[in-house]
Amino acid sequence: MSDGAAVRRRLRTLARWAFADRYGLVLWLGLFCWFGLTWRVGIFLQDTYATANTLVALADGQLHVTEIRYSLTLGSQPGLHRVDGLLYGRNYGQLALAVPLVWALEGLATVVDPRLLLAGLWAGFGLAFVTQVGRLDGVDRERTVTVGSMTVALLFAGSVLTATDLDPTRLALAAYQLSTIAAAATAGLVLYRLVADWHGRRVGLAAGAALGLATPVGFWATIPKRHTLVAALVLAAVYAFAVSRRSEGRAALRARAAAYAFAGVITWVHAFEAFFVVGVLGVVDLLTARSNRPRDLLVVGLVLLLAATPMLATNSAISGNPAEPPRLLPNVEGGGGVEFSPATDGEASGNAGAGGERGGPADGTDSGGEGASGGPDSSPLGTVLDATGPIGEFAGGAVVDGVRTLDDPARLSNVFVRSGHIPGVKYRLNEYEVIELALLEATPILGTLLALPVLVGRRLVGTERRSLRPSQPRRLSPRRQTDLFVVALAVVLTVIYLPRLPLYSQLTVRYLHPVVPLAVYGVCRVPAVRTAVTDATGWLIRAYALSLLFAVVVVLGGIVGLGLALGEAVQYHALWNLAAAAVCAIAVVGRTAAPTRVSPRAVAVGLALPAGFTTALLVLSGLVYFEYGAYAFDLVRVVADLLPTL
Amino acid sequence: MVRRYLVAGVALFVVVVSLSTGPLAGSDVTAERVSDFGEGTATVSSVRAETAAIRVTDGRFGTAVEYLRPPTATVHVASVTGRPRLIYLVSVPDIDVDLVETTVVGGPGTYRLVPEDEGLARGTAAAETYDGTLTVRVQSFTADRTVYRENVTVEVAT
Repeated sequence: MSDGAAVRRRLRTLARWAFADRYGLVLWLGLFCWFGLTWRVGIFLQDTYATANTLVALADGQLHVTEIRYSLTLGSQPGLHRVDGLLYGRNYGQLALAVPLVWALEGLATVVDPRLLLAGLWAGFGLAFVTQVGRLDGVDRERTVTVGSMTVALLFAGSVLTATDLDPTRLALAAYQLSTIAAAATAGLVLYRLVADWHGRRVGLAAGAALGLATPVGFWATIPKRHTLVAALVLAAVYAFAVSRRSEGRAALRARAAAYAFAGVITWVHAFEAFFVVGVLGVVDLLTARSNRPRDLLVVGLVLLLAATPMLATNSAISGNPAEPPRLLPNVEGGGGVEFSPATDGEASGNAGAGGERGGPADGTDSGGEGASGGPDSSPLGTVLDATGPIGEFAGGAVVDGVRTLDDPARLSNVFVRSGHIPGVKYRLNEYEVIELALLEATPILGTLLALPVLVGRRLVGTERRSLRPSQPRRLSPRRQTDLFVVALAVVLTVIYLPRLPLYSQLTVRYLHPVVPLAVYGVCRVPAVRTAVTDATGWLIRAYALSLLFAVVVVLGGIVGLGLALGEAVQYHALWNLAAAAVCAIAVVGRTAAPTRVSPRAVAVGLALPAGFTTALLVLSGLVYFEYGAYAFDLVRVVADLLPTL
Repeated sequence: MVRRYLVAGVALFVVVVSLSTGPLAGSDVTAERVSDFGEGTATVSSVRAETAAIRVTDGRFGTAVEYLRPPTATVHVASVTGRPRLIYLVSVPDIDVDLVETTVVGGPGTYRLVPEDEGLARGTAAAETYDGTLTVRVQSFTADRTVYRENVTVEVAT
């Protein structure tokens, strides 16, 4: 009896540590179930073939690929690298996360049919979700749990009755996808904790839910690319940084070390992005820390080294050089799709000169750092220092090139505001379907950020009266220091990819994906948004539901009524999103500039409009726009079959 | 108290159903994918396609590409044996277009085959008209019959 109580207490402590409170848990479970809704077990982008096969190898306990379990056509596997005759993949950190899931799913598949395994898993999460919702304050427990568990039972029964075969060899891929679903849900949870700490639970929940429902995070959750995981880890680093600024003593140091740990782990996923995250963290942290005593720096440095150890070990095992990630190794030439196999040496940054030529050599679907490989030392004794030279040079080059692109407004507008037919993008690879969206089209809620110049301007005017001297970073409040970190991260992570954008196979400008949660944090820092969420919650929720309904009706109506093709449908939806972003921006900027003229209710409606349209984009992307693989839950397939096709 | 039993009941239901249909218990509930076809054949009573509707037009909403817009084929199937499929081909060789739309025939009735519009780079269709063919075939592992074949003129309206 007492044992049971002790275990329960320990579980509760663990849950509190992970989820903060029951609301966090409900949010995480809810997002998990939501992402599962449009989950298709299959491969959306070509370079997933190589990483999925690497995952299969990794789950068997080896780094090199011997079995090509997933393959589109023979020999076409962009993203494989050859060293000493062995084939290696990339993004090992992300794959390592999925390995336990592969074991779990394949183990369970010995007693449960693969298809029912997924349905059962979903039902389990659904049940946990409804019971936890039932325990929230102010919720009618009896009714919620009754209705909720009946719904889960019906959905499960429906999935069983419509179940089709799922090949057990697809389970490794399913596990891979589950790992990014978990990462996306965790990003929502971390954003909730970050925002709730500053602005209360309600704003935090709205932020976390918005990340999953109203941003491309929902789009990429089931597509096992690195972006979701990197976004979650960047956000976790920001959260740890924020905690370190508002805590004292040992807790502060622990959180500070955690920020470096999260940033350090990114090296194992994508060394190029990690380089910049760690760099920005280092600079902002040292500038704003209350103390930089040798002991603190030693702890932080050791933790960073420890977090980077898996990456160094993997690199060393593959190429013999701990500082040479697989991405920098020679590619295996893809057989069929020449366009999809990234170029190796040096071509990556070729569009810098040449009078601002657009697009440049779109050298690969996923070419993080190919440009850096100036043949770094590959001897077993090659030290980290030997190879950081070219990497540093390349990193500097990326920033310089990125800044240089800033004087090309047309190009920036294609990346950030309106896509349409973007000059220089190889639409041939998508069969001339114009489906590459701009950031604002994919995330129209960012229209809110137009209020930031108003806020900054007002603050500058205010400061001028007080004193002309800008305050020292060290003296800033924890919130301002976190803002500084977020802005620095967002700017750097954007600028380094600008030389490569616009590019095909981006869909929602996925190279900028880690910036999206940071931008949603920015949205929550706008006072007008917060008052709308706290003072007009009911309006926000009702307007969101109506907006979603309206969006689905007008877009599906357009598809059927106008007989739209895929590219046309996506662009049509994008235009609606832009209109919603404009309404949202007007409401929020209006409230910011003239608080007496615009009510929180109007702002709530303004926020709900783009959120509803983006949710519709996620749903329709899952059910109508993009077809691949097989729906994880056959019940969803049945619904999708009823909808018009493109 | 009801809810506690309800949650436990649903959880038990999920577990029992999952285990009893698993590889060890042996009762298979998963069906073949509907896209899989097999042996057999079908008798087609009529095929209708709006042959005049096929054309190349501009993409809308800023897509700035051209689309070949094929007509829908409506196929009346009178009788079926086995699990054949209908295959609808739209071919316009001079602009390199070959569209294929298939559907598995499970029983008699009306089947609509709606090929997706085909995107083309702007300027691909430079002539005023192109010759094309619409074909409908009944296909299975044991049979392959053409039940409809019509030459069409593709009008370029860009």
